Amino acid sequence: MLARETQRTGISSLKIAFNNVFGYYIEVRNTHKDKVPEEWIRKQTLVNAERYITEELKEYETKILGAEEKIAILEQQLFTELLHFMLGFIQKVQQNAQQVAKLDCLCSFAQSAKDHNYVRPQLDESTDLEIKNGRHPVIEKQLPIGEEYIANDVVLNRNQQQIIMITGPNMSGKSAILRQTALIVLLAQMGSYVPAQQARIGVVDKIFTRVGASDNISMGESTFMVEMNETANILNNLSERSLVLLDEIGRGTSTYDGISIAWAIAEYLHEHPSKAKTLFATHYHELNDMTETFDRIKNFTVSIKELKDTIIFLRKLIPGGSEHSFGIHVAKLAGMPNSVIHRANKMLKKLEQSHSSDDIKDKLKQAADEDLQLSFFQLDDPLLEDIKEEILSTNIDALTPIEALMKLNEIKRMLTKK
Amino acid sequence: MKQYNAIKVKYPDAMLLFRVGDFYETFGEDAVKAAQVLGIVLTKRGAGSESETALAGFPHHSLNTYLPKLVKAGMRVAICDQLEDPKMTKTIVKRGVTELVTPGVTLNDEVLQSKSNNFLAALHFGKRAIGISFLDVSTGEFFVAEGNDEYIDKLLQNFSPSEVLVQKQYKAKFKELFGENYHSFYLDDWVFQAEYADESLNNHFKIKSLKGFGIDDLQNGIISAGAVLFYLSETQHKKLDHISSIQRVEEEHHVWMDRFTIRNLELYFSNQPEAVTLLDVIDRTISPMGGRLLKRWLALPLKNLVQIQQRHEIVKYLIDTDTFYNTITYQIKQISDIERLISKVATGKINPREVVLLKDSLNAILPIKEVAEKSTNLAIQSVGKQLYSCKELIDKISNTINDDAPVKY
Repeated sequence: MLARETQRTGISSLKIAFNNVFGYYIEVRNTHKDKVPEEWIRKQTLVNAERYITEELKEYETKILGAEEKIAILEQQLFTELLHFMLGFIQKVQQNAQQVAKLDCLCSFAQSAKDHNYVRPQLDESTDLEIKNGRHPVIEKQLPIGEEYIANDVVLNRNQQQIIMITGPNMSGKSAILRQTALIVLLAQMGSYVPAQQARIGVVDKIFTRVGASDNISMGESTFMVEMNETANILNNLSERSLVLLDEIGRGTSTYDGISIAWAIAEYLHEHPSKAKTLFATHYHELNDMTETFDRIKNFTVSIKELKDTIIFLRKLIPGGSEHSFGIHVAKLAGMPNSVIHRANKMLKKLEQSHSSDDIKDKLKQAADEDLQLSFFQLDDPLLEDIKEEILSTNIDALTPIEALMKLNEIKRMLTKK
Repeated sequence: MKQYNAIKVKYPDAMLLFRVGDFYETFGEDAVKAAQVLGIVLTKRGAGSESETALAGFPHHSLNTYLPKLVKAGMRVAICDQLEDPKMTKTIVKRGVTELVTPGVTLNDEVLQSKSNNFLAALHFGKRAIGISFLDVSTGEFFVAEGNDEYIDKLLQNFSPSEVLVQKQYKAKFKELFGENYHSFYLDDWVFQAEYADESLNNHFKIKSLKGFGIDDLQNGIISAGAVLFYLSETQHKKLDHISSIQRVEEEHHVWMDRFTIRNLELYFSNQPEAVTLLDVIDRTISPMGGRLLKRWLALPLKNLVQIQQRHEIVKYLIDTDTFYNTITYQIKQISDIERLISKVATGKINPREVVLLKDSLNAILPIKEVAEKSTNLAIQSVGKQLYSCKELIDKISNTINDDAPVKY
């Protein structure tokens, strides 16, 4: 049409264009203005051109616009049709998604195994747990460059080494050892490789961890109450394949209360028919004496090196107990004023003299081996007589763990009354 | 305004976005809240007169930027659209709520996080046990379980739902047992009835009995699943073909970890915001689907020796066979979030560009299927066999849609 009109009018610069205001139009340069035919309708005059429309042009316009509209409708139709067709594939695509997700996860395991140097754990139906040079997957990544994570061995089984009592100063890495054990088991049972040199794991069905005095003040419960609640929960749900990790249980109360409760819990775990594998971290070194009475409780300590006034944490788990808590050393490391440290050291010496730990040990032994102590009891005052009655009349088989704790508390109250 | 009030009465607890011409407007208290959350200007309508009300609104095309903010603020948002063309009618345009978006029920990409599921949960307190079900509308995953309060507590912790539906009369009990931290919504008691739940589940899955899914003995779980479906229809989600099955979360199949343990071990959540969790260290997944599955595997480790060893076997194969590993990961990188894309197909919310993405992803699966089937590892072979090539679908899409398709049509 452009060519035809150009020829008819002899206007060489004739253009057909489109804008939103009045659709398609013909543009003519001012130089050719005089050649424009009569029937064209002038729509707009610009500085150097004029724009016209014609009947014919408008007809084309409706056709084109109509077609565009139709295209849109058709496209829409096709798309809807396609969507309808796709509905039939939903389940297949979902299946694919699941398989891809699975492959992706397993690739992720493979990748982290390569990146972090993990090994394949051996899983079996036994109830043993043997980890050689295990590491904490998160902490080992947080260490400053150049520092190496001290790997540790952990061996637990139901016959010989059911409960490991880890004593050691604060900050020495007890908690890390506890957690890494749980994480290694967890990773293994997810299907991943594990951060260790070697691991043999009898399938675990329950993992319990409790950290003493986990803060929950916002919920309005006393920390100690929460701790006891949580612990009671464990003791009621033990199974043969359980893995129990107790970190500083009993910390939330006074020293004697704490030691007594920790002792009672450890004893309960030892005597419980499930013989659940347990790691027990505590800084009450008094608990080291338990191993004399209970044969499946073994003492371990996190090694440290003592240098005159300070200590160095070696973070290696070794058999044996520890003598002090080194809390004051830690305080010093944390930057407490010297005068405070000095005073604390003095107080400690005083306390140790007046309340020598032998005393406590004796008392704990009393509670444990009552048979041996019977004669000793008879010599003492009527209060101890009462306690003896109390203990003898207790039917241990019928006690729930909470009741056991309550009883212990009761006995303790009798003692403190004097 | 009359119309607004009539609709608002039906959704008293939701923020009503009322379409007026090219704008979504909010009125009254909604407007005050919206202005606060969105940082938009609060004005007045009919200033000075008796009918003076607060008003705040935004243009309809910015819905995608403003809606996520409202939902993330924990609000339920009812979107009320004009149901007829204003050109066609001389009286007031008919309007109705077309969608109710809540934290637990959303398909909006801005609200969803690609590597986490967005679960809606429902709880039913039965006589002996508590039933619970979880649904992620964006992926179509539907789980049901039943157990005592400790187990339910653990599941809530594992799945961390964005919204929890509870029967009204158990409001206090729910708070007492599971704390105040869940965004919960309370439904009428009649929703939690066994017959109603059975019927709606059977209707939804177009089956006669739930035995096929192996969940027919979880009476309380089924009731809670019924409540979930009720809530979906209540929120105007009617096209739900992608929710094609319901799975049972078996207490006996997974390692038991209670909530204290999950928290203590800092598996995927920590109290300190800057702490590194185990998930951060081990998550090397490439696709969003993988990311979501890994999280679930972490929350529910296996107890079955054979299954665990099978996974180890595959990992070993992946480590030992570099070429295979490289092909797989290379292909997975090209796969979009097909799980969520296909859900959008079902709900009719997909756009042409996303359809093309879906096609490209399906294409990327083909090489995986091929190499997996050739693999010497039996477990991987079976994965390969379970992958569908979806050839027809790929062809149909490439024949219908151009590769540089627009977002809007």
